[in-house]
Amino acid sequence: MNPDLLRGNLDLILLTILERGPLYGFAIIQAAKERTGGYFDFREGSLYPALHRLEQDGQLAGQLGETGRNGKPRKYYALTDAGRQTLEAKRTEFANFTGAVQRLGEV
Amino acid sequence: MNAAASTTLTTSPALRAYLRRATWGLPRARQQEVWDELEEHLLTRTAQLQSFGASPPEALTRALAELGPPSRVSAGMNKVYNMANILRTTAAIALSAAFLVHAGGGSGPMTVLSVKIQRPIIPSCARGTDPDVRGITVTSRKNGITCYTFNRPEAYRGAYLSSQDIKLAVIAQGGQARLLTSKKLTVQLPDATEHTLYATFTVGGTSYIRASTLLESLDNGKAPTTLSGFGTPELQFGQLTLRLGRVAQPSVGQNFYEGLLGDFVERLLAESGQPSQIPDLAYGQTSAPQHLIQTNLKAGEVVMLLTERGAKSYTADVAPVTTGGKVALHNPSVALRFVSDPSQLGPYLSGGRINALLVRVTNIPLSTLKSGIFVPAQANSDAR
Repeated sequence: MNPDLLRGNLDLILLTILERGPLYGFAIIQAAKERTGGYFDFREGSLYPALHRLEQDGQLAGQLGETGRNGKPRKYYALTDAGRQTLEAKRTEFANFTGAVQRLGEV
Repeated sequence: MNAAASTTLTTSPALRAYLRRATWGLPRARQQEVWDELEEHLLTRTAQLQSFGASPPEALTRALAELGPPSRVSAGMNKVYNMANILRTTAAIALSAAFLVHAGGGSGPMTVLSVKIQRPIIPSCARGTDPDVRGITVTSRKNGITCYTFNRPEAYRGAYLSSQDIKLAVIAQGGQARLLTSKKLTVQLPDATEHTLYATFTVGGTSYIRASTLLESLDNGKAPTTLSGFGTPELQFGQLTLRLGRVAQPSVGQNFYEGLLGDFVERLLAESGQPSQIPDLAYGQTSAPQHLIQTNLKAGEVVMLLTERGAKSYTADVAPVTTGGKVALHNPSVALRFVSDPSQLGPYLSGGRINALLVRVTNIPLSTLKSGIFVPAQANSDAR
């Protein structure tokens, strides 16, 4: 897919993935690939800064989970109430945008 | 991949180099968190690739490549953490009317100053001989003048105070101060001693002075100079008391005290009768082995760990004591023995250990810093 599209909608994609439940970074990448049949293939280096930014903004909350392969607890990201509201707003915005683009083609 | 294989990979030079680069410039507390998170990601992906048939080196190489250039990760993370701090600081500076806060409690008035924790990346220039090419990027060469920037983001970290704010603070506490030029500030303290301070950089017409320079310049040995606190360090010069930052930020304390490590080492050497030439100092990187040391100090005291790498070459780290008296300090040597005098430091192992000094640097007159040396009940430390 066009990387600009992924980049421009990264927050919407991440919040959507985490809507089903908390995940850690690697699992988010796997979930994105699996749930979209490989359509979403993150540039992984940009994923972590985005997760930390959303956490700092209060959209996500970090939680420590089970011990990972380095002997440290894995960091899970969970959607906060503010994150849920943002997700709804972004979904509506995206639906309006794609709807408008479709209507342009129908004319 | 089993646990032993994971342990082997965590010590891989390629992995550690990547993580070190990817976490450069982050506030120390965040640095460890991001390091752990990326390390976990890379080990998990490496294990997955190995399960698909890749050899361990191939799997790690591919996992690193997939995560992308470490500089990109570092830039993204610094944008999240350090830019937020800079913007907060800028916002605080904009609130000029509320900027100086005078507290009447304690032993006297105190002024709170906002702190910048990063300076802009502006090229430095050298005339004549070319600067050492390691660790720098040359930005221009013309008419025998070479200009360059440092590659390490840490080179631009620090704790900086605006000249104008220092001037207002000094005047507010009964002294006199005058900005002679945009980069030169003269100060007369309430005890009538006079000092000249030079700014490190200027942004938008406002000049900034390194907080450690302020301390080194104002400490003339006439009045006791002491430090206290970590998240919002306090500097007391006789009757003048300044607090750096209104809200506790570990990055402010870390940057401030790291900026003073060279000064601390010089003072200790001078007090011990050793030549007071400027020591060659390296900082204890968070990626270096960590020593968790039990002390009998109160939480909030600040401790320096010092070892000698070679003739007048030292490695130093500084950290606050946490609740329960523990302090976590980094040093390249995994096995340390704490000693009580700088003359006992040396680069050679003795009984498998390197001699090290622990020095409390807070709530003690800096003119007698040596009296802050202490040996904990457990005089040996093995890194985690």
